[in-house]
Amino acid sequence: MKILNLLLPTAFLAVLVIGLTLFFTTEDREVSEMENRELQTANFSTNVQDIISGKLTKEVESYISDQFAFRDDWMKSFVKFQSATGKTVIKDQYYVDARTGWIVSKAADLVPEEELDAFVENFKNIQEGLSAHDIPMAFFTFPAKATYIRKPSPSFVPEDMGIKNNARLHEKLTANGIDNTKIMDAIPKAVDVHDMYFKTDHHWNMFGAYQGYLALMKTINERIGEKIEPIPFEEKNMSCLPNDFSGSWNKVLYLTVANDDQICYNYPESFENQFSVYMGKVGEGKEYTFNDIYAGAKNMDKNEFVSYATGYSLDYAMLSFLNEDYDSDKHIVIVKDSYMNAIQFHVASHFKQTTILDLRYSKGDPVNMIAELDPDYVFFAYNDRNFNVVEQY
Amino acid sequence: MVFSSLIFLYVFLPLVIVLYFISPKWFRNTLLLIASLFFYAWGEPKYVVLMLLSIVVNYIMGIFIDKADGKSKRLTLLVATILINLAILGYYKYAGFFIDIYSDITGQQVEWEAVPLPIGISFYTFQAISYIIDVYRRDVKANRSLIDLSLFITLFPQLVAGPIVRYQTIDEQIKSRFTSSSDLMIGTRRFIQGLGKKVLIANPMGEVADQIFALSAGDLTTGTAWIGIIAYSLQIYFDFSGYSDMAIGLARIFGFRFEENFNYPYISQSITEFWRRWHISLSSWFRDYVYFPLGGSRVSHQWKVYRNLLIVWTLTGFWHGASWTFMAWGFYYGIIICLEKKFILKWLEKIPRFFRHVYVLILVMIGWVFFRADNFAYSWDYIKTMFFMTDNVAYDYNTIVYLMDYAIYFVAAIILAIPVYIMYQKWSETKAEHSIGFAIPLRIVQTVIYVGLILFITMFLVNATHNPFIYFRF
Repeated sequence: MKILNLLLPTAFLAVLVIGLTLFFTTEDREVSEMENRELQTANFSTNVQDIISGKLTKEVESYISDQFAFRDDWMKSFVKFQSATGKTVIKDQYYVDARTGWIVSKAADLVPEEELDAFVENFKNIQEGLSAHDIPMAFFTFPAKATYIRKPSPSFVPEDMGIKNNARLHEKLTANGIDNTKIMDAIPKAVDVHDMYFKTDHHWNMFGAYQGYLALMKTINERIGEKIEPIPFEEKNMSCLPNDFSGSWNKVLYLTVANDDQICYNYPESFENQFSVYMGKVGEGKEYTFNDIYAGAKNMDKNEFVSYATGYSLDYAMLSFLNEDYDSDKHIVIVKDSYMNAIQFHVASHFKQTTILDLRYSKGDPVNMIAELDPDYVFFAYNDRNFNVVEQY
Repeated sequence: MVFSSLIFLYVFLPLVIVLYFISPKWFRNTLLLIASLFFYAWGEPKYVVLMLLSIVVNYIMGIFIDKADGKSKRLTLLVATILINLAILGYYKYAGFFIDIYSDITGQQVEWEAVPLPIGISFYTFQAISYIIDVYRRDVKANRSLIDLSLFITLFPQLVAGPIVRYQTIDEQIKSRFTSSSDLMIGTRRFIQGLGKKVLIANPMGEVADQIFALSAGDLTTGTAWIGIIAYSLQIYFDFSGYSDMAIGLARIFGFRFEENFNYPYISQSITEFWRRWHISLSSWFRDYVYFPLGGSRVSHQWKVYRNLLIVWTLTGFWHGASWTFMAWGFYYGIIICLEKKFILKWLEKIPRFFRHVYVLILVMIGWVFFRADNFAYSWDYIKTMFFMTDNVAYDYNTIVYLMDYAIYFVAAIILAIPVYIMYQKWSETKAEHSIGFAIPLRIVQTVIYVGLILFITMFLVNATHNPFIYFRF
């Protein structure tokens, strides 16, 4: 009986000791790719004040939690448990349809009026600043997945306010004299939005990006007064990677959602020799080619996961494109977020010079930055869920 | 340090258990004392000094009271010691409250910088007071060993959230104790049960309650309000009783036997019974050290009984926190218990048992609204919404989501709030005692299930943010 009684306490202690041993023997990680954040490492605050205030103990607790053995597997199991128990909003962010593989974001609320006003005010200041340098500008919104993919999701979820928020924003921009367009309005109604996006990522896929590119060129033509013919979407230009895709939303869910997402490309072969690209202003630093910037995942191991960023292009503070085979001799600047990455070469292929700016990675006044480039036209192109783009610089 | 944290479970606890059982017996109390001080200092480094000061004062005064000859001298020393204890507690817990009242009454602003409440101060102060009173009453001898008395007050399983252990309960165990294999098994099982109650039920229920009580009164629906208060009722029970289970279980592993602190309060059939089953160590403390000295129910006039009850229950509310809502919560129970004593208990005996349960649950849940809400205005609005006395709608999207997403937790919590599992446990243990053929598979299956439970809890803990126990703030 005594041995039987000791069974549970011994097993319990064994679990704890094994956990402790694994913790000490597992190598520390500095970053969690899944959680997209830095992990606490063993660099602790050790001065007397930090010890007395309890800062040190908090850091040690974070360290143990962050470096706990098999942390990602525990987290993944928890998400699977939540899905298995029918949780409507997983991780308080997403509706998951396990049958189809779609991940849909939680419905957004109405953006407060003051927030929209502040956003528009910022653009008004930028427009005034650019006008002083005789640089025309326009503001475009790309259709975000979160705004247009609302199904499949439970029937009882509230209405997403994305479309209303976007409409309110464009009304305010117009009322303040800022040239603007919803790119979605220029995309043919016949296009099924479910074909435009990755199921497990917050970005559009190649087909969706291409629709965006076609619509964008149409709106750009209207601004610059030219009739540039965009490159048609052709099957012969299509290629897809065999790699598994790590969608940004699926990563938050520890890649637990099975899906058929795939990184695909659609561009003519000529792109590979057509451009000189600089990570900065033209002539600054090393000259890069198309293959250095775009579709780097083609060289990755087939067993590696590919994300939207590694699949198309990383975000750079400034990319300058010189194009030998252009339709227009204009120099345009596009201030963008990551939605543009999939189609930046497509757009650049029409102009003699194109500069792509990402204010999230730049420092300084955007007006001065753009004025120094002396472009013919500036286009701001952001996905329509992005309401703090200007404040980010 | 929090029991329901990875650092406690996978670092502190295994190290302390291993060190304890490989240490010679004469060193074990010292080891537990060091571990307890480390445990406390982990969360409150600077307040260890305060706790040690309290211990030294009570240690010295206990010896003085024990040695003193005359009753008046002993009484003077007792009163002085209690006042010192209450002064420390009052400074940290109640000073701001009374200064606010003074300012409101006189209109004079008093400069006062709020001090953070040291964790567990209400618990260890009450333990110290009970020790001093017991010494005064000659129920126990003053402890001459500073280490032993320090261990009584700081013993880490019960240090920060009780149960409030009486010195008489563990006096002999501190001096000499033995951990049998049965103690280890029962203690381990109890600890895991408590940890499961906290992590798997109280925390998810807390998520629901926190979100709902964060809604403005206008955003509440009747359905959401009911879900919120049911969630909070389950959260506070599983949080606190889970902590008590862990404390009792851990103590058992180290050879101590603590009194029970909860006895399935939500199955009570009257409020009087509820308080015999809820936070038993606090209720019995107030009964023995306040209610009885006031005369209890052995008084010359019946109104004095009600007076005594109202004093005790208002103080019970006040013990929980320095705010009018806590006092009102305590007074609320005082009134109900007085009414039950006067006539409701007789009336309850005549109605079906089901309605007696409904009566208790509704009154308790209304009480929890005052306990949980930040102010009276919100409490009233919340209660009115619960009973369709506002224009708020009956339900909305949130109501459905809470019901669907947390249904599994609600069902598990409700089943575990009634003594079904404990009945099975008693039955199986009795059968195992008499049949080795039953005991072997029972212990093997039990081990597999509880180890699985620990791994399951670990999964929740890795995903959790810091989630301290509700009673830490008292």
